[in-house]
Amino acid sequence: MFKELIRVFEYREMLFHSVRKELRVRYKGSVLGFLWTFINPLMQLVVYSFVFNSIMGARAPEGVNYTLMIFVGLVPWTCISSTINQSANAIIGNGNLIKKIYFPRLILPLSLTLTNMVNMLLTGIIVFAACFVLTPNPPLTWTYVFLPIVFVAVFLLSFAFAVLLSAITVYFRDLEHIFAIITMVWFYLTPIIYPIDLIKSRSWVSPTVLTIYKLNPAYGIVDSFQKIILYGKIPDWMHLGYVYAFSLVLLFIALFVFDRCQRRFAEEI
Amino acid sequence: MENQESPVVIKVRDVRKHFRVYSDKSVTLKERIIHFGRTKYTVHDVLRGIDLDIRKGETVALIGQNGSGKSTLLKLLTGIIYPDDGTISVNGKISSLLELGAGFHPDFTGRENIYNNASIFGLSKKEIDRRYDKIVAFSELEEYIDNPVRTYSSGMYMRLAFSVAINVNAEILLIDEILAVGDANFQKKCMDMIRHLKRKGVTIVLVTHDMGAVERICDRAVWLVDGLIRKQGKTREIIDDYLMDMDEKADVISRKEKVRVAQEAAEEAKASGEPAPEVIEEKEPEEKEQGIVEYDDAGVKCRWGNGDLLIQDAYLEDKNGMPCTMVTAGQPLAIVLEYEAKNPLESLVCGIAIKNMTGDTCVATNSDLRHIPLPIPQTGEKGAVRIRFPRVDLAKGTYSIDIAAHSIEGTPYDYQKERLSFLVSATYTDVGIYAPELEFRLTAEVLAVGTPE
Repeated sequence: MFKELIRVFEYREMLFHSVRKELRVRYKGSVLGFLWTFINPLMQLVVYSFVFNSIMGARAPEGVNYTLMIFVGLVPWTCISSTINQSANAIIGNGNLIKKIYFPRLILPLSLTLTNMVNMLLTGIIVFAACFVLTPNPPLTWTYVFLPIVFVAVFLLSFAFAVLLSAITVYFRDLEHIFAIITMVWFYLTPIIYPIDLIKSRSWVSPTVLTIYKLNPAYGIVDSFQKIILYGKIPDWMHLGYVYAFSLVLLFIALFVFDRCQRRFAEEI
Repeated sequence: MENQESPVVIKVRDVRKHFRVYSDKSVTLKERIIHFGRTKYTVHDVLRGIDLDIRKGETVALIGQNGSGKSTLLKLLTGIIYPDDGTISVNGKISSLLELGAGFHPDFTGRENIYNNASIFGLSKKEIDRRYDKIVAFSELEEYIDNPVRTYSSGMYMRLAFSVAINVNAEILLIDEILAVGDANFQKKCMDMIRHLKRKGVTIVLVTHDMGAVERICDRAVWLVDGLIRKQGKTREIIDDYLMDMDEKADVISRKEKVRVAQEAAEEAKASGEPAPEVIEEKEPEEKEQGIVEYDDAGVKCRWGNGDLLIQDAYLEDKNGMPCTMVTAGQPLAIVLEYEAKNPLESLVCGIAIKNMTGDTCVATNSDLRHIPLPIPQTGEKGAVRIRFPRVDLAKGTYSIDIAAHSIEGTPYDYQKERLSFLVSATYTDVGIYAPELEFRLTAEVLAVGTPE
């Protein structure tokens, strides 16, 4: 398994090219080109903000802009959920390469994850700029130095899922549809479009239910981003530590499964 | 041989591989659950225990018919698929040219695709930078290198792909049936490049059906039949054996085909009330009440006829009338057929067919075609026919001779396939069949004409 990781390092140039190719192919040929990177999440932001805030009257905690709150959760979430949804195609879609050329197969889920990470950072920058327009006093605090730690957590979690799911969809093709359903449910179980306090304030939410709710690894990530950006606080290390632990265990399992599955990739595709 | 001392870089031990051929494959979770444990498939054994050592610097050809497992073996060596059983150890940086241009993106320029494609072979940016000029020069695409490859012709595309793959600088190069790239000029360039790599000590394993290429560049050939190594050794010997085997198989098929066509024609003719056309050539002896038929070790029929006349002995004579099996190019040779008539005959035609090792007929003729009437022997009479070539102008190599005696209508009395074989030795190694004496004359005038003004 570690041998395989060393191989991936040897093939880093391929990784670099494959990420660049992914990004270019994704936006090349479309009329607005690279603008799509920003327009898509921007529109999502506008729609959620309009529907939940303006129509249904959802409120962010005191002193926090609702749109900004959604944005902070939506950016990492998009990275995780697109990675999961696209992982179904990471191996199968590259069948031609797999059947013809040897290269460390882990490159494929890794390149998918990195592509989404790059996308996340790009959208993050642009949409963040848009938020300056929306908020009268833009929140800029020293706690931003903790952001890289959270980004690494997003990467580990996404990568673990990408490795695991890309390998098993080769054997179970219809998982692709199941991912879409799971990520949808998961989206609403994560405090992205509603503040975390809202969950706590509900009478049916007992401490046990709350603990289970917080077992969601995306919770720690979204919570950390919100703490850093919205409130200028340091992240909750307990929650973030849990995300790291969860991701690393999952990654370990995923690498093991991937290693077992990849032997038959060329035949199964 | 020096190769015997160089280290083994590819070691294959008892490797087995089977593929599952699903009659109705379930690839979704839903189907897996529904058909749990009931998925039907047949196991197709592709490799059934391969042991192979390849030493550093060797150039080895894997030959065999389609489906013999040679491409699968190559894929196993590359690491694209894994063996079910047995071990493969490969020592050295490996590059495989299994498919050219895999991973090319049509919208990217030639330059971008070079970087892309080379990175798939595991090269770093620096390494690609260093090779970039060489790759472009080799592909001869300097002018087009900044155009998207979708604007390339298929020839240009392949040239670019090949240039990248061949310039990867691997220690072990695996090549699958891709030598037929581009025009003759480029093919020659590829061949030269492979020879160059070979001189540099690169280990090369190649799969191809181009026996000419195999013979020109390989030190050793490995012949696979149904997932097992039938034979391995010096290229020439293995190719000869392989081609002979193929030839026999082809003959059996074509003969069956001929009989089938003839029968159909006869039935058709019967239906339309016309007399059936006579089936002249190579009638199946089974149709005869009496006759001879013999099979060789491989179970292929090598002698047939109705036995009215038997060729008891056949041999070759050199210029001095001495029996021989070898002739120097340009020297005379005679083929002697000693016969014995067993039954009353109405006519007699004797013929020969000389074939080279690739199965090409060099000459096929008989006394009738040459307008030489042979006396009809009496029953029990023995005699000999001497077919003499004043000069043998064949290219260097091994040749086989079919000998035959038949009636003027073509009914075979005795047909013996590849009864004789002989070797032509020559100081020059022409390619082809006919290697006549030649003169090369150079004159100043001729050269001047050839020079562009």
